[in-house]
Amino acid sequence: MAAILPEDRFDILYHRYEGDEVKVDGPSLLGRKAFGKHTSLYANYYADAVSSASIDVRTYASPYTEDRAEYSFGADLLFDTTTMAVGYTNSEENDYSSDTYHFGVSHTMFGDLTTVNLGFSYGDDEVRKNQYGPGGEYIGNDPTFGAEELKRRNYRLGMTQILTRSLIMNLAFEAVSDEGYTQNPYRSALIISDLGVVSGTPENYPDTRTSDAFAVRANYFLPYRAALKFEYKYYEDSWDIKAHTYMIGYTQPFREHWMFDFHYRVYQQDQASFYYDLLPQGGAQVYQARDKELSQFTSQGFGIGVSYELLKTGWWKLDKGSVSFGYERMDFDYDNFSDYEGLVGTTNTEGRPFAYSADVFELYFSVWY
Amino acid sequence: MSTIRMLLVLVLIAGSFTISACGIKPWVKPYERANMADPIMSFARDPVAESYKNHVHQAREGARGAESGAGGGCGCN
Repeated sequence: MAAILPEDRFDILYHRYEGDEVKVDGPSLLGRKAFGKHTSLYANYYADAVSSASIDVRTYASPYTEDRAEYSFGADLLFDTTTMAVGYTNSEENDYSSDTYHFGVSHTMFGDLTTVNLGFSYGDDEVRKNQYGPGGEYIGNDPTFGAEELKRRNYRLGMTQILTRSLIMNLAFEAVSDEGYTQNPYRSALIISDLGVVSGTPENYPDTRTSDAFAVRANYFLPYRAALKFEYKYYEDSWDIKAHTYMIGYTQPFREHWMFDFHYRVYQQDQASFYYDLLPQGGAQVYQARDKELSQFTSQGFGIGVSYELLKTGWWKLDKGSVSFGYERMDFDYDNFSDYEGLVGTTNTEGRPFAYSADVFELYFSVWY
Repeated sequence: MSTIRMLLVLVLIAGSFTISACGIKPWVKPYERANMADPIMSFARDPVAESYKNHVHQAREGARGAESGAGGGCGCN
């Protein structure tokens, strides 16, 4: 378990998410190659093609499509028991540009039983607003909105510890600090107007958000060659959101070539202090939001994965390969985000309970060389 | 400093003292680490898939940070 460089491998993945009348799909290509004994370089291309008629869109906007392309480059440098990592990520949408710089150090010690790591990322984002034509076609950026900035800083601290010959544990802490335009330029809050009808009103978020997340993970090797995995994560932020994530997983190799993964994950969060499902008449607030990600909700996910190993004895310049398929069914159930589709502009202030299910697919092909 | 940060610092300090006090002898010998070397024990066996899963969760949940595997910003809002 001495400090080693990551494996040389290339992955090509197709991903697809469908839920709440939103479809997001696209490819991801990740390649990594070592040069000499001390340096490993990687590059990743990731794309999302979004087609959305989500609950927000159905309530007070028009369906839209958009694309996002993300490029990452980086290097890992190994010096004895210490690995240094540097990286850069650029993400572009026609209304959002993001540059992120990553830096990390990890060090193994105590006979290679312990690995500690520290990391820092700095992100510089520009948020714009699109204008769409009557048919939903993209016209250009809205000059009256201009461009807003968001600076992101992530601080990571982690430790991985081998506890017994069959048990390994990971502790991870991450603090994130955002400064600037933290909201979404399209979304509206809802308020009961002076005339008593449900109406859209601008959202307004604080200019800063700081969060802390602490995770504990453990993997246990079962005697018949299978692995049990556990994860718990606690999250809290300056917007008063508190969240708990629980995950249990099981990995079972089968015969020579197959690998099966199963997991069950539960996520539960409380609402942000300035989240309002429907503001009362005359009840406008300094900070107000109606993003369902800031409401109180629970999501559950059950996932399966199947992987088949190819070319076990190698072929040409390849050591081995695999083809993998993953599927996760996610169910989101909102406690205080209601469905107001068709009710904006009416005097009916009773929204319907809102919940939806999503299907997440991944298909990928990997080669090691 | 929030409660969670203080707790983390205390755990790390306490952990360092405990480990130092033990005289640090690896209690799992290198020849006993076959199970750990098995890919099924990895926290992020397939980075390309792990990073996608983290992205799906980040985009739909209020929480962020401390994901498994190498994390970075998702560039999404």
